[in-house]
Amino acid sequence: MKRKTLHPEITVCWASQAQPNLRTILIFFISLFTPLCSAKQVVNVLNWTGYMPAEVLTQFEQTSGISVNYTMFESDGSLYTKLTLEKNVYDIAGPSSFSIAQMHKIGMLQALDKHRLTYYNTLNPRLLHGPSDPHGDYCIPNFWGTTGIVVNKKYIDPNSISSWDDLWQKRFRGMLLIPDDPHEVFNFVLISLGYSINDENPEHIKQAYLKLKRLLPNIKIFNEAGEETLFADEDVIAGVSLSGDAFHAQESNPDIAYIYPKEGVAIWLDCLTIPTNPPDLSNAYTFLNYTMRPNINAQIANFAGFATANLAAITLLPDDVKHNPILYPNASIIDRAAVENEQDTKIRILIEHYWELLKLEA
Amino acid sequence: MRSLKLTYMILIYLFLYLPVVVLIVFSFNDSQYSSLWHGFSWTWYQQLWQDTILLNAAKNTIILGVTASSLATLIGTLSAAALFYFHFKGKKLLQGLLLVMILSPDIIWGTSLLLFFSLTHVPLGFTSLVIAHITFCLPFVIVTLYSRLIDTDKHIIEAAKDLGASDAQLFLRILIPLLKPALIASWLISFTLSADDIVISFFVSGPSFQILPLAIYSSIRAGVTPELNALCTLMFALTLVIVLPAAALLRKRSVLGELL
Repeated sequence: MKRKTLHPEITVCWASQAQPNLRTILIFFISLFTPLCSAKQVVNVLNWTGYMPAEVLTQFEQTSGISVNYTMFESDGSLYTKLTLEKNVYDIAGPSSFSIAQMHKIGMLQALDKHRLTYYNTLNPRLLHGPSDPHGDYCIPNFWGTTGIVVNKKYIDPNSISSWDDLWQKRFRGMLLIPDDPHEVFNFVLISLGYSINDENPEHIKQAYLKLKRLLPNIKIFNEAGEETLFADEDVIAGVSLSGDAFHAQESNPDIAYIYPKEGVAIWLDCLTIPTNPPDLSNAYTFLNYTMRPNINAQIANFAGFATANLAAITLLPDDVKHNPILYPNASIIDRAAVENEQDTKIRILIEHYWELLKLEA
Repeated sequence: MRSLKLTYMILIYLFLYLPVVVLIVFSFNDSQYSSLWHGFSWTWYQQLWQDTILLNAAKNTIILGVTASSLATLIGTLSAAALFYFHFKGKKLLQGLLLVMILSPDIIWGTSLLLFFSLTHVPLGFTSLVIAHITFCLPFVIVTLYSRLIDTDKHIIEAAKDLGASDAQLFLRILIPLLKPALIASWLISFTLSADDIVISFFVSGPSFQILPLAIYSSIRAGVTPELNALCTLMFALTLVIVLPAAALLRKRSVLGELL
């Protein structure tokens, strides 16, 4: 009962048409699905999750008439992939400062026209000229923070710790939380050895690895995310953590203390940048100017719970936030801090190799 | 024996539902970062209500899921019927290719679809997502429907033809009713696949159309807030609201069917 093959008819059908252009047909079918393009003003923003409260976007849409497409990403790697794959799609992107040099080198970023940025002078000058963007041409500093030592005051006296080397003390055996991020960890070990966090001498990296190996008995957990929960619930009482996470933990548990070791700390900084040839440059500037307004920026910083680089916005924050030394350390600490730069690929690979060795021995 | 059976069932259901229960309980926890109980609160539901980014992503996911799974089921039904009904050269190859599609990793799908879209100048957004989701749902739909079709009694079809049914009648009045459970199953599979997908969607999504799986995935660095728990609780409740009456209805109908 089965039918004969339909195949011949199909081939005849195809052959009789004057060479159908497959691409034209595809485009035709696909265009059936495409909603009609409207002349609506749009700004496409690519930024970290949790960096922008929805009500600020709504306010911006109402005052400017420009609607915002807010796309979120979770790592610099995926930001990089998005910008490579989708060229001329995003008007604003928010990479970490250490990748600025690399992104600029391959022509991914548009130089900023500072005259069009109304509130450029409100930015913290200490954060403006980092090693990967010495002239401040590409990066508008957004949120930043440090990596320091966190302890719970109930169990450990914060005054008994002043140096990174104190982490190697016997009393911390099996107690420390260490970030599961090789670069974060090598940063503080390099600082404790007196080297720069951007050190590219393989011998120094090896020394850091050997020193780190001696820290292993003290490490309780290599933690990937959610350390604020572990500190707040007192599952761990000492460790190394980002200032933002320490601040969040302190909000739930007032016993959390954050220590800036005397050798200095590493600073991370997230930027706002304009990718090369954005679809609508003027909308990009409108959006940047809006989010850099001190009152709006304070609203954003309050939502995100990180330290803002906008000095005028800091004055508008609640007292317990702007005077909190975890988020806003005094100037001398910032001056001694080191800002991460893009490392040589060989060194990055070497660090990751040592990291794997370390994990094998843990 | 009976108590053993009961314990076993309870354990299985605990295993399946305990994580969901924990998730729901913590959506009411009055603390953002702590995983200890800090008292009852509606805060996270209030925050969610104002979080247009997340709500919009949830809405988009549902729109995308419904569109993609409906279209995939439609196209899949026709393909499965054709595979079942007609004999043609290369049929075995075609069926083999379906399995290849099911087995090939998402990352290959993602990159090849992205290449395809950039070659055809399709803007990344709703259109590209729908096409991509139809593509990866389709093999599952066809396999589900086809296996149901080859299990059916061929005599039913022969009888229909004997009694003068046209091809259209045969398809609409014989095959479709026979396929109904499999159609529902493949629609649901497609919806689940679509609502779950991260890897392929990452490549083919654009700024104008945010979807929930990507929004949740991107929040892992910032830490998952109980707002997501609240959203998942609401979605779980929505599923219950849809599934329970449907199940009750089906049960009633089968009781009716037995009576008739």
